[in-house]
Amino acid sequence: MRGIGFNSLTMSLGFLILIGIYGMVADTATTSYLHAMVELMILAYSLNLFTGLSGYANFGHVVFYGLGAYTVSVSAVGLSSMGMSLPTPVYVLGAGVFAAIFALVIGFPILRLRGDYFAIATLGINEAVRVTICNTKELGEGRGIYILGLVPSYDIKMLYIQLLLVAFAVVVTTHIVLKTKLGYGLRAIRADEDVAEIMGVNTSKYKIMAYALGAFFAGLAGGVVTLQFACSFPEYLFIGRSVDMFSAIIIGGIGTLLGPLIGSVIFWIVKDALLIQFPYFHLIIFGVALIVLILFFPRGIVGLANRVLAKRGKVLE
Amino acid sequence: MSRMNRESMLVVDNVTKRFGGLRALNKVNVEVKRGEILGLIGPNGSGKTTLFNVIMGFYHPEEGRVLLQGEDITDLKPHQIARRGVGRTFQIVRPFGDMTVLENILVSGLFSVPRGGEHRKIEDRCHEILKITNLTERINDPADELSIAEKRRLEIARALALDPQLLLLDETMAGLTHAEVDQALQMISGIRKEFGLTMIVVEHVMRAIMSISDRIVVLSEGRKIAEGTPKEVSENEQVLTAYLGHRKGS
Ligand SMILES: Nc1ncnc2c1ncn2[C@@H]1O[C@H](COP(=O)(O)OP(=O)(O)OP(=O)(O)O)[C@@H](O)[C@H]1O
Ligand SMILES: [Mg+2]
Repeated sequence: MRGIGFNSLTMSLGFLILIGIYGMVADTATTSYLHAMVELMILAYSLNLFTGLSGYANFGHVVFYGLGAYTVSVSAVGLSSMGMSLPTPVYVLGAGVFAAIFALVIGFPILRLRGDYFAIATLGINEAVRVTICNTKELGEGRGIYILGLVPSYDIKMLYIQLLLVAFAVVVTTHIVLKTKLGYGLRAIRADEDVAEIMGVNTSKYKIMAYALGAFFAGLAGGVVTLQFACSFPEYLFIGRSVDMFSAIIIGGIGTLLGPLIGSVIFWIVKDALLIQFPYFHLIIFGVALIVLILFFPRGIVGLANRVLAKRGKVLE
Repeated sequence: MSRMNRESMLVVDNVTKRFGGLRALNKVNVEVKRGEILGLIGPNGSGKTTLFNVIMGFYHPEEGRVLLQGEDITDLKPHQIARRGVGRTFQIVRPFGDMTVLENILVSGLFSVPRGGEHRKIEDRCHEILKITNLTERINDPADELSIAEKRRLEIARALALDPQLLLLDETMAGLTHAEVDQALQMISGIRKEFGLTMIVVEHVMRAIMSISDRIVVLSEGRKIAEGTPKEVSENEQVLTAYLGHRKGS
């Protein structure tokens, strides 16, 4: 490889450790703030695993987060009615697994679609699931499902640690994917799916693997959040959150290891600041900023950094 | 002719491919022997690229079969056919633009099943292929930044990294200068010697196709109208008419 590499993996994990320590010693409000930021980060990474690498725009990614949330609340209610309860990590893992299985089932038909058609199908699925929840009595309809007291309750710091572990896992997974056949295959699909096939890439298999992997991590995030608030609402499937994740990976650099992290941190800080000053207008500011970014820096901050570093014979790895 | 006794690498058996009312291929029969270079020529729109797409499993023919070393591959998917050792280049180059030259080649190296496996070994092989295709100097450049001649060579390099037994070259010399065509010809005979490949070569540059092919098949409007040695084909009345009728002046 050319020149010295700045190791993105070390930087990402180092940053997680730093905000982990900070969140532990800070006051509860700060920890909550960081908790929400890390949650966005996990979602951004999980979207990056599929959309960032394969190039398939997925506007309905938040459905996996919502399904993860409902997996925890529904299973907690179900188990407690039988007088049982499980350790929290089991609920969280179950949330990831259920989201991944759902992705495998719907991915099979919809991943045959390409481009805009796929993007629209993902929106449709998200809406279909949300509306189904809102109209199903067993799922609490629009009111949501409350599980206070049904699962072992932890304070925000403990949940924060759990969330950071998920973040660690998704960063390391992304690193591994990028270095292995799956990553090369997906990048080939993003560049030219037909050519990828000709070069021996089983495109259907790789797309569905990445889709389910992304769903798994989004499901984990939904699971942790349900434990934090001890409830799950249909609002968890709000399309706006998909837009947040998208913005984060576009700002940071789509398909890269460091991009989702940088993007979520910037997005979170800026959004939070703007939200207070311009409760509605901030959306317009964001929209314009995103368009400018896509037009002038399609590879986000990491792409920009690589261009600058390349001039000095270095590269972000 | 001793060649007649050699085993066949590929058999295209009575293949018909329609697009709506158009028969892009009409009951086409082609056989390629192991180690042979078969030239495939014909006027624009005669079905040459379509034949490649059928062989690769990109299009499934309405009639007929494609056999690779005796195995029926007609209904397989492109990646399955690629992994059975068929590499192809695209007439209109299609590099993975945002990947480097090495990464472009690594993809097919990683996914070629039989020699797949160890990353290190694959990378060594890719370096060797880069040398043969004269791309070593551009190894870390994004494929987007290559010249058209280099992109054509990258197409060939990528196909070679699959470790193919059969290589389908679709107009890799179009638009090249006289000197570049000479280099390309040298490279192709070098590849043939080094890897002992069987090839089907589509080319409009007559000088090139005549010098490189063992045998030539001529398509016109989806039909095979002639087959034989370069000399036989260049003297064939039907071929001359087809060409004069469709490609005035070239
Ligand atoms: N996907 C497609 N859909 C409809 N028609 C097609 C398609 N692909 C090819 N054709 C038609 O089939 C015929 C054969 O096309 P093909 O590209 O195989 O010709 P060719 O011999 O490669 O020509 P050229 O020398 O110009 O590359 C043409 O009439 C073309 O318009
Ligand atoms: Mg053609």
